[in-house]
Amino acid sequence: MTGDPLQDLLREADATASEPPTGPADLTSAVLRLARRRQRVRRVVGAGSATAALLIGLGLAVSNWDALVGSSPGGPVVTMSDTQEQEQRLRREIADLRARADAAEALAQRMITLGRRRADLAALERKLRAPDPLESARQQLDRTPAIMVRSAVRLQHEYGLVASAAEAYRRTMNLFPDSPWAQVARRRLLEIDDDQSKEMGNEHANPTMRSERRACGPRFPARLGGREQHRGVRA
Amino acid sequence: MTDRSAAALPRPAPGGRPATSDCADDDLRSRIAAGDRAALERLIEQHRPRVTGLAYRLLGWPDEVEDVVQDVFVSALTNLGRFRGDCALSTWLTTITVNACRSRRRRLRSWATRWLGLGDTDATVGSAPPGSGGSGPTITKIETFDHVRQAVQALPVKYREVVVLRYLEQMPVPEIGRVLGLTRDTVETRLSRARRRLRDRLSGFVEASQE
Repeated sequence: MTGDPLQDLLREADATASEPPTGPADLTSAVLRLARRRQRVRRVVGAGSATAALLIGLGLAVSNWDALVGSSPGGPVVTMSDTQEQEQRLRREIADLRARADAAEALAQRMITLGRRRADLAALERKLRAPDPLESARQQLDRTPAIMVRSAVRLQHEYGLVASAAEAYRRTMNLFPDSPWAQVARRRLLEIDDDQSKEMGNEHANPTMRSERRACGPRFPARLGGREQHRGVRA
Repeated sequence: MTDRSAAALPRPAPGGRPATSDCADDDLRSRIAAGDRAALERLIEQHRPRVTGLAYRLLGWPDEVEDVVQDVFVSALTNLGRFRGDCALSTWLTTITVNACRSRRRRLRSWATRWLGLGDTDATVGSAPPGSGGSGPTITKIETFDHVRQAVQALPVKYREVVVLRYLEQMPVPEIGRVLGLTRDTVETRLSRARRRLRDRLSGFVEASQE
């Protein structure tokens, strides 16, 4: 605060303005490049102007040759003031040419900048059109309980890995309790429990069957063992 | 008051001059003249934030100032031989920046007149009426500051330059005189007239900020 309300207001307004855009990181190279280009343009314009001046000068000399050579005491004489006027006119023309060249260069610069901006804008639009990674991750997450339940069903029915299937159902219920697939998993788990209790009851009723089961190995075999056993049963 | 730090914008140290001595300036100048790229890099590194900030304010906080900043350093590089060393390098660069901004505005104005059929582009920028109904309770601070910037932008160039250099760049009056090639009295007269114009346009906001 300076105590001057107008000054304070100006400073605050300046401080709330957005930050000035940052230019190219390697400004030195850009400056050197631009300086070299301008030097070249100046050389070309300078050479062109000098040639034009020379031609105009020659033209004037030729047109006034008679007056210069065959000048009689009473004839037309080229004075110093005429030459100075011509020189000034030439200078004005040269300055005009330079100004036009500068204006053309400035316009070209603006067009280049505009083109660059358009390209940046197009790139941004392409980026915006691409699918949102967060959204696709969310969709993937929504599909996960369904995939887990389907895998568990395959474990249970195709490979006979009932314990692994039960574990997968339990995991689905724990990880996605609000998903409708949690209900499916719960139902399947109950079915497995019912099947097991029924089988246990049958074994108690038929000791021969129990002895056969013992001969075949454990009820819930390991993954590979179960698979082989299942295939063996099918065969 | 805003909580935005002043460091967010590239601002020079108060007094408007990077902390380099005249000897260092001379050394830098002679090395650049000898074609030392590292010296040019150092010059740009030292003065770029200040030049960018000044051009940004003089041109009315536009979206793009990099062209002007490049122009300033190209002019400095090209005309380094003409720098007599009778002022600090930073003052000289400030003069170049002011001139580059003037040229830029002139070019834009002539371009707008020729191709778009617009008149004075400066006059169109600050055409919103900020002063009269501006102090109402619904106007937020952001809008207020927007109006203030527009009011500065609407000032004639000769007033805007002194306002920016004095109040935003915090440059002393004699140095402003050196940069703009004016006497101290002229600078003070311009400042006084610029203040009067700003007060007229921003009367409501100035009073509100006092309360």
